[in-house]
Amino acid sequence: MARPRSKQAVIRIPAPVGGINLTTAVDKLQPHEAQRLRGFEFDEYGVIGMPRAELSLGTIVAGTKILSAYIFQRSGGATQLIVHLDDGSLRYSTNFLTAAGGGDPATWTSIATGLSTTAPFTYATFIDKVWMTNGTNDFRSWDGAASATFASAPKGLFLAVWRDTVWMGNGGTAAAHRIYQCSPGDPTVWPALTFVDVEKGVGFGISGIYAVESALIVFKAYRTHIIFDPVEYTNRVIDQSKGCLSHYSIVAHNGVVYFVSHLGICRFLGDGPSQIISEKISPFFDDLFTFGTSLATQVMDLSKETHICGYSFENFVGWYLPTNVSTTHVKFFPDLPDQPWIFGQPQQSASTNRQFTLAVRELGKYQHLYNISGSPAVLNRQYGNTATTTVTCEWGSAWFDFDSPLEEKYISMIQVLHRGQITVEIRKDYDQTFIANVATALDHGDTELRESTIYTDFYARAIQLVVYSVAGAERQSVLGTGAGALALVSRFSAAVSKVEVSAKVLGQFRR
Amino acid sequence: MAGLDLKDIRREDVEALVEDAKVKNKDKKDHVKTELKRQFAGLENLRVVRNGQVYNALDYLMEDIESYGSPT
Repeated sequence: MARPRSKQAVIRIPAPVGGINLTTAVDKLQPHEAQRLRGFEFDEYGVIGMPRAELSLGTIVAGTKILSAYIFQRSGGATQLIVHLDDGSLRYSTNFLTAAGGGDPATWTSIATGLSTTAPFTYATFIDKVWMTNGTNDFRSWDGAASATFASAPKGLFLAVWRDTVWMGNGGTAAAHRIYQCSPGDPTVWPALTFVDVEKGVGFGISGIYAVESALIVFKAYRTHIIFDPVEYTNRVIDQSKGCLSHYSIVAHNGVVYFVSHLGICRFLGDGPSQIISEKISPFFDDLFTFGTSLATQVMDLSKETHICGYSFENFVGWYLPTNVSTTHVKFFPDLPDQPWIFGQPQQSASTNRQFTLAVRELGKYQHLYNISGSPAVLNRQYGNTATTTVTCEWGSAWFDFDSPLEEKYISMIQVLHRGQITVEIRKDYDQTFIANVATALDHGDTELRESTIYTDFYARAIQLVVYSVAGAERQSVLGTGAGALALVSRFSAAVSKVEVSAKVLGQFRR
Repeated sequence: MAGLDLKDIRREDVEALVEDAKVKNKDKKDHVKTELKRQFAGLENLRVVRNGQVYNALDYLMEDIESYGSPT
């Protein structure tokens, strides 16, 4: 009697260009989605890779936390990083761009002291000065060398520049729905009649303002309006169910405005209700998770909604979302075809303090990213560390079921196309336990993408691939010669492009 | 009234009247309204258009009076 022939099956696991998906059952994820994805980033080609670690540029002031921060760029003067700390001080640094960390930290110079220790400033640059308001202290300006205050200006919470004027939103309890406009071209002058109430008495007051070409967006916590006439302040509601939770969450990226609402992260569409784009991480915004379970610590803490801070850098937009025990860092890649989400590095910081991340692009230089967080607040240059510094990255793929016949298959081989150092592990049959003998560190050093083969020896019906980035080597020259010449298939030091898993249906199934 | 531009009325002007009311121990709203009418002749007859609606300029300005000085 002839024995049945073994049948080869190959599963190709693509790089997780679909990003993390927290909303779909793990056995129904698409092949290009991930059950877990943190630390890694995508390059322009959808390859995931380990970014460089951040570099500490030192504590700003001992014993203080950050309230707000701003990049002040102007013609004829050095760019300044301005911080408002919870000791009531405003300070700036100019060497933050060049400081190397360690014995060469960023140094700080006082702008003012005795200011609010709780109410963060918001900022706007106009006529070569940065203008600041926080609803408590007097409206003020800073030209890079000297401060001025304007006691008679309104005391509002938020600033924006639109149509040659500075606009101020939310004038406090008695004027929470009010928008003020300065005199044309002159924020030192605020006429007494240049204000309007936007849907006065509806909702909880203005929570943020932002200027786009055709309108001033006026957010409330659960509603969105636009002012489209800068003279008579004609305005209308454009979204009756979504607003913005934090002025600092509003980010422009490639001409598109994003913000964080109570229903999720939104893309502003201009003339109609904004689009929720965070469905794949929607559990973070799920009200039901907050009812009486430990999961309440996993979702966003709306009592800290004003702590939400967003930023735009290179090909992604990021936000820090506070839970009631930590802060979760999420990143969105809108320019990739599948518009994936990943968790940042670190995925969670055990702190609910405010933190700010700011990108700066100097004239004639490449863009840099800075983060201020912690207690005391520390300034970090993102991606600024050495290439060999370890960054914790994890990719837990979708589950792949070898399907019919239902019996387990013999997994014979895993081939990984990658470069740099990674560790590959395998889970089987929806069990969270790793297959012990398949935990393999692969190291191609700093050469171009190559294939590694792991010879495995286990049976499974469904498998999940888990990749950790261990360490990396530097990216290679795209114009060079020799082995490094083609390495720019990924810009990252440790990168994974493709995985293939070979399985066999043997003549005799393991039961 | 001729020549009066509503933008000529600055917050400093109103702020000064609020402080004046404090010093003279007068009702803030009454004092500011009276003094604005006196200092800016014709103001009470001016209109201001906001969000497609026409308001009396002086009444509209008084809507914001609580943002001046210390809260009352």
